[in-house]
Amino acid sequence: MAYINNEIITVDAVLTKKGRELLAANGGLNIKSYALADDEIDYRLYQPNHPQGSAYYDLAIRNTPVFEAFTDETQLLKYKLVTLPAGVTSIPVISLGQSAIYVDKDYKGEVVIVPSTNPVYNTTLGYTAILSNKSAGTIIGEQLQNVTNATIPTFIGDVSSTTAQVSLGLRFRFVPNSSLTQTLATSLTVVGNESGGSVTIPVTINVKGTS
Amino acid sequence: MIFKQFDSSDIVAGRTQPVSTGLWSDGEAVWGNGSTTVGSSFYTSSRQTQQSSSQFEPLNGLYYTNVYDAPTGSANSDIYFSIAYGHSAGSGSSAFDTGSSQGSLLFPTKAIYNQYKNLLLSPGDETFTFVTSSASEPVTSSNEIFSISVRSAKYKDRLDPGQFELTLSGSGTMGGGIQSKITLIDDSRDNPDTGVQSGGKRYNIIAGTIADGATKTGNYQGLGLMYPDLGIIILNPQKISELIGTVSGKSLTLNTSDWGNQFARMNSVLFNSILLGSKHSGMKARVTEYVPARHFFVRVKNQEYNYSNNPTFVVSNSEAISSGTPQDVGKIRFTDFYTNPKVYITTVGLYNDNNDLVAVAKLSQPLLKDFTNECLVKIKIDV
Repeated sequence: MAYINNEIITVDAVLTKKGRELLAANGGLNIKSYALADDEIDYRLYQPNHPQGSAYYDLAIRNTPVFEAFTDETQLLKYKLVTLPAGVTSIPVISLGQSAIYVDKDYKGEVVIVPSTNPVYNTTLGYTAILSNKSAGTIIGEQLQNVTNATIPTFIGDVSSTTAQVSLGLRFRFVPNSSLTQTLATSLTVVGNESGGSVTIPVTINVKGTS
Repeated sequence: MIFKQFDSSDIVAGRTQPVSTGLWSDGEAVWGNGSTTVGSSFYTSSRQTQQSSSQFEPLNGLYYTNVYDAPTGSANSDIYFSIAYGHSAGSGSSAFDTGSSQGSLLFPTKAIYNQYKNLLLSPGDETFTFVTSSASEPVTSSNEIFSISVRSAKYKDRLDPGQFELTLSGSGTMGGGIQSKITLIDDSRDNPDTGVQSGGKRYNIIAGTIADGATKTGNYQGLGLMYPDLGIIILNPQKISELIGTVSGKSLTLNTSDWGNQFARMNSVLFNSILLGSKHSGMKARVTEYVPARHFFVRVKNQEYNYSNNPTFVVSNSEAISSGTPQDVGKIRFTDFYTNPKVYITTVGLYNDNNDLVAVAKLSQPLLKDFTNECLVKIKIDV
C-alpha cells in the first residue's frame, strides 16, 4: 500500500475482496448505496487560531496524504461521515448497559446487550454487533425485521473477518461457548447502522482453573 | 444517516471503454534492439528447439515455437507469440518420425496448415490466397504459410490494425552492402473497410512502416494477411523469401536441399529472420482491451455528511477528564464547528443491498465538505 499522487484530484477505485467474491459468484455487484469516510484525517490538526488567518485553519488537514485504496473491507471506512441536523454540538454516542462481559463458559443464563444512542438514532436500521472471535460464543441479533446478516458492513478492528461473527439487531443475546477448555478474551463492537458511531467492550469467557 | 441510496440516474452502466497499450512488457510498444528498452530481444526455449525424447509431445517444437521476451528461466520471461510453419501437403515433416522406421505418421506441417485453414478460411476454401497488384494475377495462392500467433493474454481483445510493424531480415546483402530486409505493416490505413471475413476482420500485409505508411500505395505483393481479432499474422513464405533471400543459409520457403529427409525446422528460420530484423527495427505492436465499465455518481448535497464519527472530531474521554470538563465527552471539538462543521472526505464506500462493502474509492486529496458546498465524485468500476 502506498500513497496516491495528490498533485491532481483523482479517484482510485478497487473492488474489495467481498466484491470480487460476489462478482465471481453472482456475476454482478448490485451496488445500491454509498457511504463516506475520513479515515486518514486528524481533526486535532485544525488550527482555528492560526496567525495567518482562516485560509490556513485547515491547511494541515488538506495536505494530509491519502492512502491508496486497498481491498480488505474489514479495514475500510472506519470512521464514516454522518448526516445530522445543522447546529448539533455532539455526535450521537452509542452506549451499552455493561462496560464488559465476563462469564463462565457454563453460564446458563442470558447475557443481553441493549445498545442505545444519544440522541436517539439507529431505530430503523439497528446495530451491527461484531464478536471479534467467534470461538468465544454466539451473538444473536433480535427485534430487527427483514434483514439478513451483512457480512462485514463496517470496520471491525484488527481481526480477520474469518474469525469474527457479525449479527444485526436492535438488541443482542450472547451465549458463551461451553466447550472452551481455556479462558478466552476477545471484544464485542457494536456499530450504529444509521449514526455510524461504535462502542467496544471486552469479553472474557472464564474456564475455571485456567487463566 | 451514514448510507445513502443511489438514484437510477446516478448509475451509468453498459458503457464499454477501449483501453489500448503496447503489446510488450510494461506496455512497451516496441520490442527488439530497435526499442528504447535496452537489451530487449527475442528468445526461444532450447527445450522446444531441440528434438526431445517424445515425438508425440507438441511442445517439442515439431509444430510451433514459442517466442519469449527474455531468456527462458529468467524471472521476467514470458511467451508473447508462437511461430508455426504449415504446408498443405505435409512437406517439411520428416520422412521418418523420430525413432521410427515406419514412415511419417505425424505430418505436423500439414496439421498446422489445415488448422489455420479451418480457422481462417471459408468452408471449401482449401488454399490461402494473398492479394497482389498484378492485373493478370490479382491473387496468389500458397500451399505453405508461416503463422505468427500472439498469445491471447497478450493481445487481449485485438491486435490494433495500423499499429503493427515487423521487420524480417535475411543474412545476405542487397546492393551496396545493405542487409536484405523488409519491414511489413498491415494495409488498414489504405484499406480500412476490409469487411469481416471468416476469421474476423482481415487486412493484407504490405511493405511499409507505421511512421511513413506503405512503401508504395497499392503495391500488394502477396506477402501475407493479418487477423487482428485473433492476433494472427499469416505470411507467404515464397514471397518473403524472394525479397530477403536466405537466413543463415536456409530459405524461408521450403527447399528440400536445405533439409533432406529431416524435419524442416522452418520455425527457426522465421525466428532467426525476426531476430535479425529486430536488430534493425524493433517489432511494434499495440493491443486493445474492451473494458465494460459502470460509472457511479456520488452526489453529496450541502445538507448531507457534514459530521464525522472520526474520534478526533469530538472531545475524547481522556481529554475531557484532563481538562476537568467530563461533561464535554462526545462534544464536537471546535466551537467553530457548532455552526459551521467541516469534514474532509477521503474515502467513498459502495455497498450492495445486503450492506456488503463491495468497492471502495479513495480521493487523492481530502475534500472539504460543509453546509455551504456540494460534492460530486464520479467513480468508474471496470466490471
